[in-house]
Amino acid sequence: MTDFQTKLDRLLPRVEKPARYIGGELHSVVREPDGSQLRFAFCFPDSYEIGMSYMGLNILYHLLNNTEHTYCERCFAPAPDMAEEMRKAQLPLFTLETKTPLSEMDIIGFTLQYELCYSNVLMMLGLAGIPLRASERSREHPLIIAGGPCAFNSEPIADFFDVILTGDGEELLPEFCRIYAVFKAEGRSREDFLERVSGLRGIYIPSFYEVERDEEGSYLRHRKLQECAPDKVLKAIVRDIDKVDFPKKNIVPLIEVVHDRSVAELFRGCSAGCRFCQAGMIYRPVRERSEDRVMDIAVSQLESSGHEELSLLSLSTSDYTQFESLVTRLKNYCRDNKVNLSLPSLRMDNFSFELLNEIQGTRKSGLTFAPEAGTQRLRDVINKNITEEHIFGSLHRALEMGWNSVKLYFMIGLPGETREDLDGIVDLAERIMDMVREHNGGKIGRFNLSVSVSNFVPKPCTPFMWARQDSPEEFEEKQFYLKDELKKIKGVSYRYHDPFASMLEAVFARGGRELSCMLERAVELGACFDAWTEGFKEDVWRQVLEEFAIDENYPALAGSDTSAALPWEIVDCGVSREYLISEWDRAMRGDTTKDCRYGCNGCGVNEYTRCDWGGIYA
Amino acid sequence: MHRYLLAFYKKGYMRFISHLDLQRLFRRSMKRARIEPAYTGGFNPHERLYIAQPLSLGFESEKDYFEIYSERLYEPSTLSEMFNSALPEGIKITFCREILLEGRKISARMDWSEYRAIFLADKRPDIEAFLAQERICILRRDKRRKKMVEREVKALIRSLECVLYSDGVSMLNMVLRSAANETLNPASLLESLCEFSGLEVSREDMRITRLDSFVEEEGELLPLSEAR
Repeated sequence: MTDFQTKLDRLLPRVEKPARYIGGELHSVVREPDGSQLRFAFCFPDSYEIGMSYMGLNILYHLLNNTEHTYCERCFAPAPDMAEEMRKAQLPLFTLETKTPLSEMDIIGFTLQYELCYSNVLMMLGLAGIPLRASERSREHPLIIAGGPCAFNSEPIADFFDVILTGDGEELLPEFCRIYAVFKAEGRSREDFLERVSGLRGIYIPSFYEVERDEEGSYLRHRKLQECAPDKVLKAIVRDIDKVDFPKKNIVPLIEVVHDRSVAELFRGCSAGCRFCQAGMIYRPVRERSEDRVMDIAVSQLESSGHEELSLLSLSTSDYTQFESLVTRLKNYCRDNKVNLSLPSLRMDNFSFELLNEIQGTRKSGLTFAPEAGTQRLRDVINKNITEEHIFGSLHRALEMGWNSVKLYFMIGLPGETREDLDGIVDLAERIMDMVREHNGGKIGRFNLSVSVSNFVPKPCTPFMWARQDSPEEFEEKQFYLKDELKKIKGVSYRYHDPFASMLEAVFARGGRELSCMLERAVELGACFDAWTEGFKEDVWRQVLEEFAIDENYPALAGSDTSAALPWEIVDCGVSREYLISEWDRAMRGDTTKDCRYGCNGCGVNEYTRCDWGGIYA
Repeated sequence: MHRYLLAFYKKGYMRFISHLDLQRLFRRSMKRARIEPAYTGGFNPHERLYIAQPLSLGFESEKDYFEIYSERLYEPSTLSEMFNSALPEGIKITFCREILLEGRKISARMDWSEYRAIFLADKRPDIEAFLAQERICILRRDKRRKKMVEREVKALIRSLECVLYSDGVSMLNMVLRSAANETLNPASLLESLCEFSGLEVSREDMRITRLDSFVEEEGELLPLSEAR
């Protein structure tokens, strides 16, 4: 037994859920490294249970391990107890598959799914014994790269990465690795390699630019330091998602994870155009997978995993063009094979009701609606196309069919929100409960209405990227107001989020490179697992925000004028600035914009790729 | 309806898979292998698969047991092969036979388990003196009162011996009570033994393997796999 294994064996019985760190799952790929392969560690900066629920990991893991000469392994953020034991035992962070220290990898790729995992990225690099900053690393160290939705503003963490990959990874990442393998074999320098890949669509190399600021320190522009660097980095776009590989053999976790099920992606992108939604903008254009392909993927995954649940992945399941036909086929397959079919983000129309009634039978889950705002006026501002008639019509139907749990999702702090909009949330809840009583002969019975309210965080690449965010105090006041009002309604439960964490999320969502020092400092003081209530160290973050003078005037919180340049605009998300401005203006006027399937709205993405969606229903 | 008794080993890192996780793993393996189990009735039917006894997290096993019911008749060797084609490395079916439908659940038939423990200690544990005590006590956490309480376990030890002591490595074998209503955890007993012998060994540093489980018939131990 190696020294490493002896140490690991001693340590595992001492930590909570040791199986998070053992690997060995069915369909995980274990190879004998022979020196000829490019070794890639896919790092998810959160717990095993969260990371293994993320389909993107399976997609890229599968793709890379099918790329010639490439071996991809996994690594997740060790929980604080494990991290502590590892430090004591001087055991460096390792891959699950072959228990190889991360420092021996060629490339370490982080997926950045949400801003509050940034501290975990640094914690993991620290545990791996790898210098945090790209400028402190050399050829002796692995190349540290990142992708995922947060790559659309990677500035707060740009200094820690050698390369940021923006957009769809399925074609770009394997190509990137192929080029790396050639440069490695030829023994060429890291600088040569970076120069070579800087020309690939989707590649952003932070060190190729310097940020220029005005006298007050405000962001002015990115200035190129290398001739080869593009003026703007356009995100990578897979034109036909039917042609890229999708995994048919998912890794089957040995322990319980958040989502442990087979998943088939229906389509990428969304045509609804909700103005707060980053996913709805950065994944444009809509690209569908064919019905037969989805069916094949679903059946193969279920057969190879033995999963007891199948879920469909997209931003809006009901918008899949072959929805009824596909779901009817899947429903039959699942019934015959004792598999539960889970259909997230359904629009509740006739078909959906019949469908859910049939597949859920006597064990109905809750129905979920996301009006996001309490009044039609504010829903028009955010362009959320859901009306009260729809909610009440669906509710009526749901009560008749025996549902007794409904969830409503709202946001507070949306641009243009007034007290009336908060009252609108209360009013909606009240009227829903009235309807329930009316239906149940004056009683509430077992019915439960859950009202979940989150704090609006303005995100880059959305029409609301110029908006100011409410201060934590404003959020809190609104939360308490709603709490007091909703308390008066019997049968309603109310959930809300930590306003301070939402503020921090906004800081990193729209912040610039100046934040890297603050992040380093916070991690030094013990910040990690910020997305977890029990991990979140508010005192540490309060201290560093003060030390680095980040307050309500910081542009990421205060918002900005549409004339100002924004730090993330070095990356072009495909949707044009002009379009985002016009949507911001329309929002301020309360004008809605139709789903682009009823007529192209000119978001600009079709300048870069074909969009088959504009006006298909016009 | 048919009823099958199967034995498996669980080794290496798989020792960190809990009882519930193992149940899910077997259920999924059946699906992958297209084994057709019988299901329970009711609104929420589940596969009729029953593991004889949970194994503590961190213990390995050479031979643990479970039983399944199926409407289908399988050749026992075929059933093991089907299972093994779908199991991850570290868990393997080593025995399978059809058993009578009648009769108690195997979990209710088990009386004793044999374990092997290996740990590092600077002297040989004093087993004779330990066993010669009038009362042998272990410390057990009382979940309700949330504190450690003593429990007398002498009658739950059928045998305990040191089979090897060399270069600071102790290897012990023991047969302990392991019935549905009464079990003795080897790690707890060894902790007590180490303390008695003045050895500083924590339970995390003991490598413990369950070797087999037995039915007691007229004073004799019969492995579950051979029990009538």
